[in-house]
Amino acid sequence: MDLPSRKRKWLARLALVPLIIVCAVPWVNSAQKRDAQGSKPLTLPVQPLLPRSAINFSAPAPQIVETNAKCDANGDVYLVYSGAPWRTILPNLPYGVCGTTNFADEESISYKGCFIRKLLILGSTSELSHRLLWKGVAYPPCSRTLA
Amino acid sequence: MLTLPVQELSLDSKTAISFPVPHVSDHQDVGRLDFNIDSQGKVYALLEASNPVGQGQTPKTDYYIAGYSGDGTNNSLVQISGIPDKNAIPLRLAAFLNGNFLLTGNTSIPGQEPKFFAAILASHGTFVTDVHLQSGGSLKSMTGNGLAVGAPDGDVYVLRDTTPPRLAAISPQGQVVHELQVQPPLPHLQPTQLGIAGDNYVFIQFSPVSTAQMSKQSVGKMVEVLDLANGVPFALYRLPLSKSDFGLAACATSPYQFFSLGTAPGGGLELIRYTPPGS
Repeated sequence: MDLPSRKRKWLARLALVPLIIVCAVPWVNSAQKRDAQGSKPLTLPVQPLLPRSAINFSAPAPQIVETNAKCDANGDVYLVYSGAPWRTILPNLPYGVCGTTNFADEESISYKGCFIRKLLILGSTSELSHRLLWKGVAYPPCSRTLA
Repeated sequence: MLTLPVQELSLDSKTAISFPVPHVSDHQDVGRLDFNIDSQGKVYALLEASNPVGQGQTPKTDYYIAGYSGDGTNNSLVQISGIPDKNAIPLRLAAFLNGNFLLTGNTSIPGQEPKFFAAILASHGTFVTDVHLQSGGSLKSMTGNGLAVGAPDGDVYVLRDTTPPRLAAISPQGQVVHELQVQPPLPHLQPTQLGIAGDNYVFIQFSPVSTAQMSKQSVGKMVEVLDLANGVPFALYRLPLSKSDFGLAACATSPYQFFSLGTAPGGGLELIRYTPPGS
């Protein structure tokens, strides 16, 4: 955003100051207020998100998806996914996976001793489960332990 | 996984555009650590590449920022340079509208807990300044650490998964404009996704990330929407557990409309639109 438009935005906000003076405290103060209250979160009603419609693509459905999906101002979605089974993808990891290449029982596995570089959460719709993949550099050497 | 291309799913054209990991000359094992979309829709990727310095020597890791045109073609590649902390390991990237970047990651010192670092880079990849955030304690996880998103107001919002998580608005010059604590809706949930929800809101998806919790289907994911004007929670949603989607709030076009990736009845890819009741 260029400077003039930013100024306009702030001027617009200034015009609202008398109305929202209570809310206009800096974020830091808001956080401090929460601290003074024992870090209790504001109570909001939990609402369900309900499926309303679907947009279909000609591409095959993904088998695995990285969690770091993003979108632009138009609502277009950017993400990393594969329609191939996850077991065929994992051997291509540049750094491999700490500890093991056998994922048969990975849901009960935790990894210790790894310097964690990235956590991929791999969604698998067919099994209604998510698989955790700790991508790390093995220093000191990773050890695999049962959770 | 990391060499798979970023895919853009266009809501208008219903097509997918690929943004592949580019070749980096004189390097090998090029992988993508992160990618980011600026507020104008330009795609950037943070790359790491192994530089074979010589026989018998440990390969050196170099870091690059790749830029793409709208059709997925790589049209720029700059090396990240000048970061004073030699123990810093870049993990995530966010783009400012003025061309600068916010680089976040961890410092890696053997025997010590990793610490968060953040720095401003110029458009050509050189270090400009460190970003000094309030101490938030030790990092709780790498999952939601350094999640960053560029906002329409020109700032970048970055989340640290401390206890509790902390969200900061950072200007292109590296000033911390705002910072606040984010209270997870439930104690066992951790942030896994950060995104913009319309012009004035940001959303954070919280997920159970331990393997034991993840295997319990009763544990659901939640999305909290924060008002960017004051940092106050605006709405709290529970994502449905479904056999046809990934429970991933990939995108929000407003505080009331979310999109998630799913599988169509015929086996194809679909984006599912979610709204709360009454919307």
